[in-house]
Amino acid sequence: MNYGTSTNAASSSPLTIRLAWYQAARDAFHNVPFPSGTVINYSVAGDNACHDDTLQTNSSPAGTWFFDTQQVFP
Amino acid sequence: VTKKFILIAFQLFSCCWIALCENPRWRIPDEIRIPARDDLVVRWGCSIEKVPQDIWVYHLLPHHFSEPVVSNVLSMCSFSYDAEVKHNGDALVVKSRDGALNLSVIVGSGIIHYRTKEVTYGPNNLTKGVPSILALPTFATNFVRALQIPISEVTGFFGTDQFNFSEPMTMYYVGDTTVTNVTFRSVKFRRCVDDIPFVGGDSGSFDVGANGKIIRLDFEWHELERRQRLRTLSAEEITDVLRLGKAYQGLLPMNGDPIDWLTVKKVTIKKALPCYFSGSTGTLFPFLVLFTSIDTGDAVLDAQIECPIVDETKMTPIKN
Repeated sequence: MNYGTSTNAASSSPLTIRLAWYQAARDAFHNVPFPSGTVINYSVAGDNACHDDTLQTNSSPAGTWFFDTQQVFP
Repeated sequence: VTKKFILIAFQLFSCCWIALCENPRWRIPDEIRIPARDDLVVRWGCSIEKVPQDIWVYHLLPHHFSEPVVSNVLSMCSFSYDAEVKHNGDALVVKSRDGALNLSVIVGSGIIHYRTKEVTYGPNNLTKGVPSILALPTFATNFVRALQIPISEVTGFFGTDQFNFSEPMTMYYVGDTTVTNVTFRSVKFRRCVDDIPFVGGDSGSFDVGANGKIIRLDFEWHELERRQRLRTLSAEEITDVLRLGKAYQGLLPMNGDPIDWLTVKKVTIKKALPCYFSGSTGTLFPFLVLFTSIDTGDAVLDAQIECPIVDETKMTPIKN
């Protein structure tokens, strides 16, 4: 698949570091038996200017902040 | 030569079978085996009547998507007629001309993945038209219908729900102001068969973003073939399983102390839930989840215990 998980770098768009954090957790928990209805949330905090940084591209901090949270399981 | 072959085949079978018995397929690597203890006090605080008397082991077979289903998926994913379509074996890969939409459908395996290029949002560019949580049940039902999945095989994660809905949230701190943005809302569900939920295996999820468009989709669904029917264990036999060291402690919160099973005073079973697990294997294995209170002597902790639901030595050997 495209977007950060492809082995074909020429045609893929790398995930942002923020999204890779969430995606890694989703992948890790995908086949884990949590039958009790466990909910797992992950969060990211950072500078607004760096919200969409990737490993290859990054921006200088602007001094304003964001906080971001997503449910990664289920 | 024949004798040698039979001997090698028997040894191979024995190794595989011992490995299966020692390390059940439904167990995940981080779970701790509860050590055997003849004197472990086990109390049943619930009825086992909801556990069926017999349970099936299933084979997972490829699920072939029909042409109408593929057509429905293309429509749900907002592809236009000029999308680039490639066939690679039994995989169908569809990309929009600008490369922003990417869909792969493994037609013979029942797998769909769909991704879209992430749109950059910010405090001055908030996401518009994301459906509210209240609108998601309709999205979810239509999605399941479009994939021609029986709604009776869909279940949620909390015992009483059919779909799980969630939303991410981004808060931007700009001066003295906090600006909140919700970029999408998610629908997730898992499969159940014979009213028993899957806890690792077939499931589906998708995100609905700006203007009600699906921006991510992951779906995996197999055909099921009944392989073997086995009698489930009685309450007394399950108690024995716990005492014989054939059960596993589920994951505990990281901020608590580990349980020293050799000094545990009492285990009270509050609920027994049959579940299925396939993981990445080609077989659907039943097992039992026990919701318990554990009296460690210092504290009473709630913990999950996973254990066999059948006599696993009676399962026919697994090829994979």
